[in-house]
Amino acid sequence: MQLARRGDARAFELIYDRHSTAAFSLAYRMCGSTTAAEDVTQEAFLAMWRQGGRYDRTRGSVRTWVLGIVHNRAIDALRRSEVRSRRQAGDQALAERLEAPERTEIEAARRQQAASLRGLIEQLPDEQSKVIELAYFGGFTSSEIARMLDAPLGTVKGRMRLALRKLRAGMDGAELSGARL
Amino acid sequence: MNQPQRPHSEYADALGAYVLGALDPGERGEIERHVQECKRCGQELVELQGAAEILPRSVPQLRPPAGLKDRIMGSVEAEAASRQPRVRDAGAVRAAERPRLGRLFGRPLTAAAMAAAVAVAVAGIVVLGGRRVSPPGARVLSARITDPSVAARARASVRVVGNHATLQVRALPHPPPRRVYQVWLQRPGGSPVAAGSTFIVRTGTVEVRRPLRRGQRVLVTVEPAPGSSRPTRPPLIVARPA
Repeated sequence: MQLARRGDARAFELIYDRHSTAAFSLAYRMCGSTTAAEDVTQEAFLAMWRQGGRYDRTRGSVRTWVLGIVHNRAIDALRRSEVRSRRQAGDQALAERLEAPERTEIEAARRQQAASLRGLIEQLPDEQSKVIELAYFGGFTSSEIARMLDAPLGTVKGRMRLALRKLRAGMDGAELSGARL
Repeated sequence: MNQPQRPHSEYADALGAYVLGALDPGERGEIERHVQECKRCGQELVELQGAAEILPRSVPQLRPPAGLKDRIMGSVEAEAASRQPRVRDAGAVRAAERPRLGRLFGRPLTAAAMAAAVAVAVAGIVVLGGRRVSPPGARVLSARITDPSVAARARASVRVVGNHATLQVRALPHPPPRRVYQVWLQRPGGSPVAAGSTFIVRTGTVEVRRPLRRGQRVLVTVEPAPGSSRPTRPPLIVARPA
């Protein structure tokens, strides 16, 4: 990371190799189309390259930083309405065609971890998983979600908080909080 | 004037929305100010942020499409090359033998060698520094910039010594994102052939790596980084033989 921050393209290529699958997967999950996900991933990595000096390791891992930038770029794209109309969360058929092969043990472990984490989210009550889905993966604000669900704004915010607290408890129970694959 | 304080429970309830990025900018600011003063909410915020980190990691893992890496690294390599110091020894790497960046760095290189290799081998940029000395027999081809808005400010010419040509440019616009300037040679009635040189500098001297044959034109087009096998756009610069 230090070399990439100083403009070493080779070092940056290693960062791409290590995190591009997770980055593209998140972009696809949010945008629902490969074209939009590619655009978001490309924008995100070029932003990282150009702003590498802004990475602060005291605030989290490189992976967290990468995924945060992808998330922000995807939200920008969603809010520009470029992809929201095309978004189809849960397009499993396409997802299966694109599924990353497990080339290494760490990739297999990441896939297993992702499945475990999805299991935690699926255990949330519907009204809580829905607000998480709309806010985090859909890029909607809590006010927009309140209008969409015809629910009081305070209720929507409360569900978000409760959902995250349950996820936190689930992580602690499953000893996933330290997972940094 | 200070805004009226909200009940504590409103701030606490908004922490989840804050962590999920689902608040308007004004309300985000309010939460940030509140957690600086409220230890309990600050502690909860850290816990909720930890929980939110699992969301991006929970998605099914999908392989990025083929070609995405090449497009991203093409731009990265071109930009890395533009950040390097000027390279004086232009002939060290032949364009036809240019290795991919990954293979080039398969063995350890010094920082200086790395900088030079990136500048020369990857983007094909060759900017000759220092004062030019015109050898006997040098001739200059007139070069036309086809875009009037660019021609109003920029200049270009081609110097030829024997069959070795160098392109001189001044005040070209920056190429668009993920694009480079690419040099071509074209014989009369023939298709343009890549001259082995791409560049993104606005002002400088670029070596034309292929020998310039009698009657050939020198063209420059704007191409997707790191370069194309054939021109995808009309030429921006056309230099005709004298």
